[in-house]
Amino acid sequence: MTLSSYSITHDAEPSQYGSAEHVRKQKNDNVEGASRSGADWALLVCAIASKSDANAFKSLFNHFAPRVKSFMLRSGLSPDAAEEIAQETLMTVWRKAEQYNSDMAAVSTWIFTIARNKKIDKFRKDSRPLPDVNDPSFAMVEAACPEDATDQSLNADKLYEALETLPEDQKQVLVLSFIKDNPHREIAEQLDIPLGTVKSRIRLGLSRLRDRIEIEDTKLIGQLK
Amino acid sequence: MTKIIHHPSDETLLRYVSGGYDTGYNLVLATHLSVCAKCQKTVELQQLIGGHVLEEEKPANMNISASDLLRKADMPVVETPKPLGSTYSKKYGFEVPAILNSYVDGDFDGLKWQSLSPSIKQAVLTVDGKASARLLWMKPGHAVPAHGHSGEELTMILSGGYYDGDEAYTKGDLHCADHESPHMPTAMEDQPCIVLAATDSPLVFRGIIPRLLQPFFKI
Repeated sequence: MTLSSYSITHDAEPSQYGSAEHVRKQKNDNVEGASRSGADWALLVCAIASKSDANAFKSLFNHFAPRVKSFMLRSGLSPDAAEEIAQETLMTVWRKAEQYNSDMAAVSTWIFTIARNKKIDKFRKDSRPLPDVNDPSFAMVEAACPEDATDQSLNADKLYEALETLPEDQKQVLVLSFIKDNPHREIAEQLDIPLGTVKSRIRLGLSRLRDRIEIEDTKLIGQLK
Repeated sequence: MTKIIHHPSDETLLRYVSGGYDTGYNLVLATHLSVCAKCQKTVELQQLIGGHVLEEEKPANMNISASDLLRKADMPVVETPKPLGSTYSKKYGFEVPAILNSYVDGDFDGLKWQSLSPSIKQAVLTVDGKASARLLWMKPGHAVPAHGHSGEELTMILSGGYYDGDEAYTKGDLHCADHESPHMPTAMEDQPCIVLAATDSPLVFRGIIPRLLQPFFKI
């Protein structure tokens, strides 16, 4: 099944996201490889949360399940384990859709963190809940350094743009960090560079991204004034 | 509240975000994150990158369809126990962060401590694979004898503080010590120091430390 099957064959009931939007999406979906924006994915998750919209789920499944599986395969998991994590991840999307907060994170980020937790769960013996700071029930005990906190949630699109401006070596190390089990050591071996270089590229890359996003924020605030 | 000075490095947080750590480390880092807005911000940025990496994946073939999975969704759900909130420990005089509270069954004051020496007590919270997390209680002004690590040791200060070399670590700080740096944390004089520490070698304190402590018992 591909993305294009979304809401054409199963369009049983009107969706909450409005008909004009809906038609536009159908058009997009009919183009092979057309990508939805982050806002589109967020609407689909909301549709699951508000009315258990199976069609919305199918679109999310068709896009994200194969990517989660691929991600897990690249992390070195067996095809069976990767398939299982992809299924469990999407099952959580279906069951916990109401926990998704579009103000806090992009859908891809949310699904990434679910998959990450499923992967850790699979390999641990401890049955207690995984310590997860994104869990809404874990309220901050006290903000230790409030001056470091900002109200602004990071914007995914802005981040992706910023990522593209990173020097290739820094971007490569950041991306590789996500698919290695012991990222720094393995990356050092794979790229045949010293461990210290891996670490400094991660730091440089992240600090550039931070700066970049902060500059954008400052510009935005300037415009608003 | 004192300001947090010592934070985990970007690489440490990145490994946490990408799921590369065992439970003990996850517990220590999550506990620090629950009180540190600065590190939360970094994690948020890294999770965004993770989402981007996921988006960029070349799709793999799934064995089942969305409809198949939805049919499975009718099966009963095994609920994981609900996490507890934070509570104030009367006995030790500090707020036990929510994440840690689940690991002491909501009863920090009722913890069973094991004495390693007259000045140091421990309570092991979780052992998962090679990694473990334990609480350590240090008497004011007393030191954990110099020790090295077979791997990375992450220590979160829950109450009080300690000195290690030239550095002072106080409530909320996260101290990252690697195997190359043998160290000797010494609790500050004003109050006992309670820390949460993760190591990837559960035998460090059971085997090596008691042996190191033996001369001290004789004093």
